[in-house]
Amino acid sequence: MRRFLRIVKESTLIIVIASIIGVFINIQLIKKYVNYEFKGGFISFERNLLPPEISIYEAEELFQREEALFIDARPEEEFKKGHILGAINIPVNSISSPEDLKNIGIPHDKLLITYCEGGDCKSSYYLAYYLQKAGYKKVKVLSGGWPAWFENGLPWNKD
Amino acid sequence: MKIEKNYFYNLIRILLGAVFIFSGITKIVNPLKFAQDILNYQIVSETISFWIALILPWLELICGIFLITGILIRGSSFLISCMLFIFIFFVLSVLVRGEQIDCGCFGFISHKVSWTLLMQDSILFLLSLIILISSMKNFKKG
Repeated sequence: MRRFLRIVKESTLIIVIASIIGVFINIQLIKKYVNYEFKGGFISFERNLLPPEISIYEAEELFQREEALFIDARPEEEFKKGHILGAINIPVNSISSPEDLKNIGIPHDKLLITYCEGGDCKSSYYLAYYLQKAGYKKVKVLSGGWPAWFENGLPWNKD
Repeated sequence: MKIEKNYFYNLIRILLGAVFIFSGITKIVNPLKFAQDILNYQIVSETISFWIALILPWLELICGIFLITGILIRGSSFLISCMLFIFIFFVLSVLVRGEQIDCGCFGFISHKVSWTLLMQDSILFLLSLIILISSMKNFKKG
């Protein structure tokens, strides 16, 4: 019993030391977090690479003219339940670096429009950011995401 | 504290300590990347991911240093065992779900979650248990 107590005491001491150092060193990050600066996610977007948004109406026009490729950033199971007609699925949690997107056969000349669950979902921003980092110049994020598309009665299908 | 003069024990202790020091440092340099990596596992919330990312790397570093230097060896080996147990659970949950995500193991040289990673973590977990049990035996003697 005495040795278990000793282990608990030692472990608590180490956790306290690590917590104090961790909080002290990262105090600036904590301030930013408290101010909701990471509401868009933990990956900091470089200012010049901040993905631009596109409205549902503009996106619809481009869809009708077949001038854009829609990319679904949601997990595969969500994509299978329903997605924008013709969209491809790249779940954002499957990407660890922009390198993963370099050789996946996406045309470089086409406008890419990413989308996710809507609301304050971030995965479409991450995906757009990664695509830009991977060298794709024309990337936009669909404002309102999948719910906006679906609620407007625009073409969709399921796999 | 007196460190047991057993070469195998010392070798494991130093090896495990070095792995955790390295792992801690690679995460300390970019806590936000680590927070995102934790979040990608889809097990804990954004807030919990954030706080884990701030504290866990320091816990790894301190435990690693303590393990090598022999300070609070029971506590540090116990915490390392606990951390590895949790890592194994996280990795296993991703493998069962069949997802492909970045493991977040060593910061910038991180790789995808795989069965190899699960094996690595399991071996490290066994090594940490050896240290923990040996240090508890030492305590009994002393």
